[in-house]
Amino acid sequence: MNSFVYVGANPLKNTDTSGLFLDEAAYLAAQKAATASGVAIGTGLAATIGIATGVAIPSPIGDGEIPGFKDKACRNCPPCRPYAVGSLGFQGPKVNQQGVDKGVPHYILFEVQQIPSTCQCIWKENTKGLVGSHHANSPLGIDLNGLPRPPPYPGR
Amino acid sequence: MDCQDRHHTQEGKIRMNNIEIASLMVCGLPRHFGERLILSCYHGVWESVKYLPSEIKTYFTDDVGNEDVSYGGLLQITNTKAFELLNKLGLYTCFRGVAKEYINQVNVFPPKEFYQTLISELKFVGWDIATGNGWCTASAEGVFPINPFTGDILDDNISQLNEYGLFYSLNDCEKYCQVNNEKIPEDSPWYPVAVYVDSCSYQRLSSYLAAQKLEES
Repeated sequence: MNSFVYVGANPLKNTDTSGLFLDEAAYLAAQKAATASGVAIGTGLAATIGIATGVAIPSPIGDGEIPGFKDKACRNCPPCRPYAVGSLGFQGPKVNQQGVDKGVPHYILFEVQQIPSTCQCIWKENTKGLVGSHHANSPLGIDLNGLPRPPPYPGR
Repeated sequence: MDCQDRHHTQEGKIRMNNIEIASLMVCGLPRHFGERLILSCYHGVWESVKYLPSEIKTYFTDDVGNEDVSYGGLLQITNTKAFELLNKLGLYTCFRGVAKEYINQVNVFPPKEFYQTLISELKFVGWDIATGNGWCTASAEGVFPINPFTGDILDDNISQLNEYGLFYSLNDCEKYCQVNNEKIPEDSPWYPVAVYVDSCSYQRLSSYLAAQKLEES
């Protein structure tokens, strides 16, 4: 386990005193290296807090898979245009007047996703999922400022 | 351990008529400050697992229905066998419910019929406040009675929060939504999110909370 993941595996170059931010470039580089070596980058909670009870729990409403749910995924959607699935966009820098991040500039990241059942393309807010952090501290992708949160697709 | 507790708070029963489960996340143990746990609908506050354990991946899709799922913060559950495995792994489910008028705004693709049955088996634990379509909460970005990362009490309305760090009352939650709409209009609308956990998660959280209370006393 890399104990310096919170600073992108580079404690000499990066700091994260609040624990809320992560340098995206460092993160992406660490993730690439980790993927190559088979090491997971992230909070690793599943590994660190596991409290196995060993007690078999009856399923509350039956054991079966939901009929047809996964089958609804459409594999033949037309590509999202002008921004393909996986494209990134941002809003910010944002400075909250209240709350935990009060006074700290940061960016909200969005990712283009496509709903398989309808083929609709959307901007999905996903900072935590994308960079493993509460907020991004640098802009990535399309500038989506001036649009609502979440922005309509394509937005610009 | 008995995980068949199907008791709901009165408010949970009443409001359930207008609430639809939108998505869920799989989380580790939440933070706690004193005798209060900090549950949240936001995966940045109640930290979700970065990667779903491989043995449970097949029981989930992402929250728009893609089968190739890895991240634990934005999910739909497709097989109830997952509850048993999550319990063995020491992980928790956190279901997010929103009023029907907000379901389109959050850009998810839930298995509605399945969730209509499942919701009666879940335990309602309180109301949270979110904005956008990523479940970012007022506790993280807006106005909220407590700092969920430090436990600092931020205003005099802390008594409106229950032992899970969520609003007891939808009315109080809606008042805070309005405060956030006024003070942070660029992120409006701020909307109430009903937070539920499965019965096994609830029992383990309750036991943990009881242990914390005992320790505090």
